[in-house]
Amino acid sequence: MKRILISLIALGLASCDQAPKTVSQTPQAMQATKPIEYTDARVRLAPNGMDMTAGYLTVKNNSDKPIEIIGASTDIADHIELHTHIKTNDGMMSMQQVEKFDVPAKGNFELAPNGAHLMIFGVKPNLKEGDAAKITLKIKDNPDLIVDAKLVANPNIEIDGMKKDGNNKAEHSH
Amino acid sequence: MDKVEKQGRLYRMLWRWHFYAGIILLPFIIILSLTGMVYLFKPQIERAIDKPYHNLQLSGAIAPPSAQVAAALKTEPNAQLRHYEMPEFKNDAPRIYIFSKGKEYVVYVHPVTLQILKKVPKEGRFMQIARNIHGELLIGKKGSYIVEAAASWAIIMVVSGLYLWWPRNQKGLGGILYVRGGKNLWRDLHSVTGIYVSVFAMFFLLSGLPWTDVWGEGFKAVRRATHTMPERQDWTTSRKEEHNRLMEEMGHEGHELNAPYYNLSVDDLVAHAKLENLKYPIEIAPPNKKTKNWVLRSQSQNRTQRIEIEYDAKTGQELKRTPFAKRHIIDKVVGVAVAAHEGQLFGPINQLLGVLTALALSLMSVSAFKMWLSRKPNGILGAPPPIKDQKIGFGIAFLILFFALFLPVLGISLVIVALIETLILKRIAPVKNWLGIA
Repeated sequence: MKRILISLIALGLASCDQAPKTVSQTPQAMQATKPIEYTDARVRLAPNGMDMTAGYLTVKNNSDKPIEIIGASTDIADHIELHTHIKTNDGMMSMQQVEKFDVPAKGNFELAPNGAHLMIFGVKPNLKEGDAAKITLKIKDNPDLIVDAKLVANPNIEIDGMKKDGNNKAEHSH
Repeated sequence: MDKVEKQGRLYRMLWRWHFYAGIILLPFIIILSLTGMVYLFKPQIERAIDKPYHNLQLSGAIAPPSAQVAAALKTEPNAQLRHYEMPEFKNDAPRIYIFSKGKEYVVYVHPVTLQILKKVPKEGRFMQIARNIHGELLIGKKGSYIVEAAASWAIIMVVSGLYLWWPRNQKGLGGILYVRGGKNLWRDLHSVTGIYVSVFAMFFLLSGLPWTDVWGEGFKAVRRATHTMPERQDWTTSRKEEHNRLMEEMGHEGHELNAPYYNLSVDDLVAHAKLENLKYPIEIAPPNKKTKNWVLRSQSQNRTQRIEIEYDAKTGQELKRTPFAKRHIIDKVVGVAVAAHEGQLFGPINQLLGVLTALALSLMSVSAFKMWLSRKPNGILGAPPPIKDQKIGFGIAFLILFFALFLPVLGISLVIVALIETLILKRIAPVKNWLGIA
């Protein structure tokens, strides 16, 4: 519970009223070859001074049975929890650890900001943009799905940087 | 005055209008037809121009879009992302539109190595140049007025042309529906082509009006007055307007985005986009001065397939979805008309109709010129002779007034021509005679 609280503070209260999004179309970048595939796997650089961050990807289930992602681990951090956003009784949004992610048969499961995500704890220091992260997704009754993710810029850090050197001033040439 | 005489006067008057306006219009019709024909093939031509940046050899994993964007932004000082255009195929380089010092550039980045493959100012792209000739004759605002005047007068040419074509005391359909040879060849080419192409020409002229400066501005005012949804208007009238939009959106101050770390990035939008089944080109635009949201949009040239989805930059939540069907009625009408004008509404047949119209208009210009050369007496312009008293009927006066109000640039140019005629041309006898002014 304490951990969830920490992650809540770390991630901020995102206002949201959506369940994790499941979409049934075929992602354009994927080809239906393997039973389970993924795209856009990315781990955000941890915000300044923190050792936790979030990982996102889209999982595609090509088989005609639903699958369940029941856990995850990585070589760049201590451990990973499966998290999602939920709406509490008082209408607030909060992050919550879940047992599993359900990927519908012949469907997609998108892990993205404002929805389901991999909450990554104990991130190794000195990682930089472009570094590789190997994430292993445990799938019930199936072999593990090995995901090659990339470390990506954290928009919050980027924005702070932009503010620091104040480079947003466009010249006015009317 | 009896009916026959009345009609004869009207015929001669419209003939004179058709003649003078036509002579001035000829070069413009040809320029607009040729550049228009090129623009009809925008998707094919751009694909050909960008061929070196498609089907790239990829050795390794594709870099995240945010890294591609970062590479593009490094090419100019203090550059900002305007939008990221998703590559249609895995092996294509993304086109990244960046903004620096009041200028927009298109940067092609290698998706694996992040090498800059090409960088070009947006204004310098071939189709943009064709478009600038077509809309502004490459001379900006002034050119836009000239094009608008030409288009307005061309509408008069179609209307007066139809009147002149209308069969009177004719035996057979030669010169009406089919072309006769011999001495009638150029005349028939002009009038017969004219009758077949008139509907299409009229469509292109009218559907081009929303882009113009004067007519377009008035039209936009109507759109605003009847507006219920504050979405981005789906067309721009000039480079000036595009520039203003650029400056408005890319603004002066820093973003207000100091939320914790849930902020969206281009990576998230790309992942969303892949699940949306949008029509290419697909653009992803970060928050800017005008909107605090991330915007994912299909910029399909067939505007009926366009859609815009907005996401809250801080929370990542989807806020709004504006498919074509939900747009303002004016945007819908313009959207369909513009898509057809650009040859993108119904595939190759649409392009073919555009080409045929452009070719027909060119042929009409050439045949008109030939006809004029063969009839023109030495030493004078050779305009049809004027009617003695220049009196026009009430109906015609009303018609002129209607067109002058509906097409303001036409009205203004009418006044200017009338002033020049009475104040200058009529007072210089040789000029007056050469022109054939009464």
